[in-house]
Amino acid sequence: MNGLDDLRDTLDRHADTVVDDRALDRHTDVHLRVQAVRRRRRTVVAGVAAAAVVAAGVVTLLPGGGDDPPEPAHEVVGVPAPDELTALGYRHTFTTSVEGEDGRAVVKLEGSPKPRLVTWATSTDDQQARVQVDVEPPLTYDVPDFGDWVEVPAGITARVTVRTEEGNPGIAVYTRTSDRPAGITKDGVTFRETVEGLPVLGATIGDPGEADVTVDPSRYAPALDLRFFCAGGPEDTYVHLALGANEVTGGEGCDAIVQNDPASFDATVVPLRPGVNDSVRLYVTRGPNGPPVDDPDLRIGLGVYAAEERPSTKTSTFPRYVEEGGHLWELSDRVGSAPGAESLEARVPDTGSPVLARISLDAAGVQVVAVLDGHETYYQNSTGTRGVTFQEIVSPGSRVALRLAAIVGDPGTMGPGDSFQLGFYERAD
Amino acid sequence: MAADKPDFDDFVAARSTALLRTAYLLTHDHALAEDLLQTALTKSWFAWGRISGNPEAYVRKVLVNTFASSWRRRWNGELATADLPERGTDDTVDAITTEHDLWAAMARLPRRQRAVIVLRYFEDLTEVQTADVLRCSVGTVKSQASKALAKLRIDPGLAEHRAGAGTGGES
Repeated sequence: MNGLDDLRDTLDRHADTVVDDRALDRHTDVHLRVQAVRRRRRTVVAGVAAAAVVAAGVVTLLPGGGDDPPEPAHEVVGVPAPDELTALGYRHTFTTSVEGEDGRAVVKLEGSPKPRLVTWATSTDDQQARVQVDVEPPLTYDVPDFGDWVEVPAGITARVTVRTEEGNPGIAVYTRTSDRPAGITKDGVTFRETVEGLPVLGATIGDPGEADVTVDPSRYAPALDLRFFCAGGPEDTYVHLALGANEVTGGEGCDAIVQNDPASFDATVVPLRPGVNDSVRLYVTRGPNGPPVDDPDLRIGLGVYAAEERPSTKTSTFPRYVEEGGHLWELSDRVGSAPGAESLEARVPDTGSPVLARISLDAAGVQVVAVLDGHETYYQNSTGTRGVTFQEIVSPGSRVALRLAAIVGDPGTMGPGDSFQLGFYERAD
Repeated sequence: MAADKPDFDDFVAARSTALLRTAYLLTHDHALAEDLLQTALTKSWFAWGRISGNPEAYVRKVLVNTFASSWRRRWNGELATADLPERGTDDTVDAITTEHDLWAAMARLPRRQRAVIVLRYFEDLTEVQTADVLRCSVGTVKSQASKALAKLRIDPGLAEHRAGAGTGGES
C-alpha cells in the first residue's frame, strides 16, 4: 500500500462499480422480508388483557389470470419431474430445471411477483442431499425424488444449491399459479378453508374504504383464532378487534400493501367462556379513540378459525399444526428445561427430512444464544411476558442447544418458574 | 412519525443506492451487498417510528453492525479471520495491479477492521463518529484502524508493489 490516498482511491473506484438496478423496487423486497420476520415472531396472545400490536403482513396482491401455460413434462437427471406441486393449497406449475455436475446443482432465482418452489432429484439410489438457500445453513434431506422443496417467497432473489455425495442432483423450479386455494376469496384475497390445521368458521373481506367488518362464526370452539389484515389506511390508523362489545386487542399496524394470504400471518387467539356466541368485529379508527377511518384506499378483512385448545396465559403453547416454508408441520415431540435452568439441549428427531424446531422462551426479557445444527444464532424476548416463540427448520438428527447469554447489555435472569421449551414438528403434508 | 422524516419507501428509493455502495465495500460481493442492505433496511423498518434525527445515519449504523457482528441471525455470509491467509502464488500476483491487490487485501481483513476502514476512509467519518456507529470506544477504533492498516501494509499480495513507495501515515 502506497498510502492512504491509494486506499481512498481504491474504495472510491470500487464503490463506483456498483450499479443499482433495484433502487426503485427495493422497498418491495424489504416489505416481503418484513413479512417473513413477522411470521417468525409468532406470539401467542391470550385473553382480553393482552394488548399486542396487531399488524398484518405485506405482500403484493396477485393479478388474476395471465399464468404462463405449464411446460411439458421434463426429465431431470433421468427422473421425470411432476407437472405441478401443491403447497398449502396453492398450485405451482413446472417452470425450469437444472442438471447438476460434479455432485452439485445450482439455480439462481431473480425476484418474481409469484412465489416459487425449488425441488430436486438425485441420479442414483442414494437420495441424501444437502440443500442450501443463499448463505443460510445447509439442511440435510433423505427423501424421494421431488419429495420435498424449499419455498422462495415472491420478490425475493435466491440462490439454491443442492449437493450429493454420489451421482448428480437435478433441480426443478415451480411457480405458483393465480388459482386461489379453497376458502373465502374476494378481490384476490383468500382466507383459506384450513390454516395450520384449523378450520375456518367464517371470514369477510371489506369493500374498498370499508372500515368496520363483522364475522358471525359458524360455531364456537374453545377458542377463536383470529387472522386479519389492514392495508392502505392513513398513518394513524388504529386496528381494533372485538368480541361482542368487548375489545379483545388493538394496536397500530395498517400496512401499505394488501396481502393475498392474510391467514398465514400472526394470530390473535381468544379463549371463549361457555355459552358465548358474540360476533367478532374488526374496525379501524384514527388513533385509538378517534373517529372511523374514512379513506377510499383502505382495505380490511377478518378470518375466524376454530382453535380447539385454550391458550395458556403463563406459558407458550405448542399447537398441533404449524405452517412454515410452504409446508404443514405436526408436533411430534417436545422438551423443556428444568424450571429456572439457564440452558436446554436436545437432539432433533432423525426423520430423514428436516424438522421444524419451535423454540419458546418462557421467560420475560431474556437473551439467548442458540446453536442449531452447528450454527450459532440469537434470540431475544424483549417483551414483559413469557411465551415468545421462534421457528427454524433444522436437519434431522442434529442438536439444538439454548443458553442464557449476554448479547447486548444484560442477558436477563431465569426466574424460578421460567424455562426454555422446544417443540419438534415433522412434515404433515 | 416526525414531520421531517421521509416515508420509509421514499427513503429507500432515494438513499439506498448510497448505502448499497457502503455495503459493497464491506462485503466485496454485489449479491451479498444487496442482501446485507435489505437486512439492514428490514431491521430499520421495525424501528422507523422511533428513529429520531437522520434516518440514513441510523440505517448505516444498522448495516455496519449487522456486517460486523458475529452473532447475527439472518445474515452470515462471511467468515472473518484474525489471521492472514496463506501467501498467494507469485505468478498471479505479478498479473494484477496494486489497486486490485489492495482491494483483495481488504477482503482478507477481519470484518470489524474492514468496517473501520470503510467508515474512516470512504465515509470520511471521524474517529468519534466511527466509534458511535460501531458502538465502541474511540480507543477501539484507533486500535482497529491501526491493525487494519498494518495488515494492509504487510499483506503478501502487495509485496511486489511496495518497493520505493512510502507507506503513508494516518491523516
